[in-house]
Amino acid sequence: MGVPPGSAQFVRGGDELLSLKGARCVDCGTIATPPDTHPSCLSCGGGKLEVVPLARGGGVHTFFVNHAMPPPFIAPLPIAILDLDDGSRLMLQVTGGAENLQIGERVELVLRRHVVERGAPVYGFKARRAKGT
Amino acid sequence: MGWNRVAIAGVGMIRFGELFDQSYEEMAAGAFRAAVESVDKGFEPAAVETAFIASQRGTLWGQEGIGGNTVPSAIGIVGVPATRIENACPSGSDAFRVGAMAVASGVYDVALVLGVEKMRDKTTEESLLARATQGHPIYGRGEVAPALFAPFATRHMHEFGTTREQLASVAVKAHHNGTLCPYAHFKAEVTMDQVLSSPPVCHPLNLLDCCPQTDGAAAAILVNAELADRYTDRPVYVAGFGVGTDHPGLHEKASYTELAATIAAAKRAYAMAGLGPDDIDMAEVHDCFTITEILDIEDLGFVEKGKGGQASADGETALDGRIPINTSGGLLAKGHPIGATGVAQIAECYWQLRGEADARQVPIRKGNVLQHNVGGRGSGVSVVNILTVNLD
Repeated sequence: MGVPPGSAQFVRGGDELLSLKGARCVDCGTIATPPDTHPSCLSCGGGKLEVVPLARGGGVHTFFVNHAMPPPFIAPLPIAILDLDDGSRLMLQVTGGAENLQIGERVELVLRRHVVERGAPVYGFKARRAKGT
Repeated sequence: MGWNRVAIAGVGMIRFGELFDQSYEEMAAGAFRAAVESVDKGFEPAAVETAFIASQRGTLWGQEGIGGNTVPSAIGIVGVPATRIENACPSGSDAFRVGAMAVASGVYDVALVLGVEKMRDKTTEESLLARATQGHPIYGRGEVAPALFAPFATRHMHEFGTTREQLASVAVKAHHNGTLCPYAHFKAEVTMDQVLSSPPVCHPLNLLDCCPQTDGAAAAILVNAELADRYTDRPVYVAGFGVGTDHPGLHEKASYTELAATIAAAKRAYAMAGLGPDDIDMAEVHDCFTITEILDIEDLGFVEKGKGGQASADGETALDGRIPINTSGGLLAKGHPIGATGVAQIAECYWQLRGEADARQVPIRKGNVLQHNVGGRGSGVSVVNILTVNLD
């Protein structure tokens, strides 16, 4: 995956990924994800942000299904842009297949193994379809 | 007005395509020589006072990152101040804007804008597809180029009832125009059935909803409008330009049925030009994917929001339509050598304004045309340039 575990990006972002955190603006309440790439608020530009846990469920706002992917991806790969229940947005891979995936469909966020890179497993969240596996 | 008026003295480009026989430097030189030869009253390369070189990727061939260093030597004007401009897919159109600002400021009277991109030297897996594994270790994963626009198609279809057939009509029109353009990468008609039955790339987009990866180069020579009669009796002028930016995250859009960066860029360009969408005779817009053109014609104000698919299917954007779009074949048929794309669109606009577009010429009634790019992560940057034959 180009960024092996233990690299600088994982040092900066690993904790917030594995524990699913967002950056909430103290002034206007907007939540940006992930915190380590959002030092300023998406809505008001403010710099006072607190790290908060994200909601673990939401709905599909829109989506796409990748059919042409380089290794180690396995196609077809559905990816959804989600409206989480706390008002934040996240884009995650979808588990449970792409068949009949719909805007508005409910998902729950679950920790999954994304890939094994250089012998080490890389974990992160995925969106599990309520009707899927 | 506060700025010197800027004229285009000449434009040139090479035929786009899979140019394994031409180096980055040879493509740049070919475009520059074509631009020099296009100048009605002749142009000495030594007259170039400054140059802006657009190459976006910086990695596909290896030395694009220092285009400001390599291109002046390659095109025979070594010693001239030159700077590489990178601003995602609008790199070429932003280099044009920066060149226009250099002349408008009065610091320079003659500026060269040259876009060049070598995309096919590397395999598909090593080029743009590789971005699926770049960026954020989790959230950036799987974000290949069509993924930047496919979720907008999904949502546009959901909210407005836009159909696969309407999207496909953009590709059918583009490839028809491409058959009439001597510079196009692809020069063959495609049918609605061929687009709809082409392999899925990124649902809901199929292969023929996508532009190709292309090698190419294009150039434009900008001069202070007061000096334009040294070079031509039929100058084209820069009427206005605008840039807009938006959050880069694909999950950070306020709406998935519009591109905020395009709307912001267009608002600024129209205001600077003192024009509106109804004053535009034709436009070259960013159709990297069919859905992108639907979004563009809505966001630029040519068509009401949500009606872009129907307008395209009804032929409003065809050569004989109400507002012809991408007469050159667009990115879909002419190709998308990223840094060169915006400059090549400027060239098409210039030819259309001067009545030099041959079989793809459209009526020029008001004398204003528009050029547009949008791109980057999450379509986070857009540039709009407006050209005119009317000097106020």
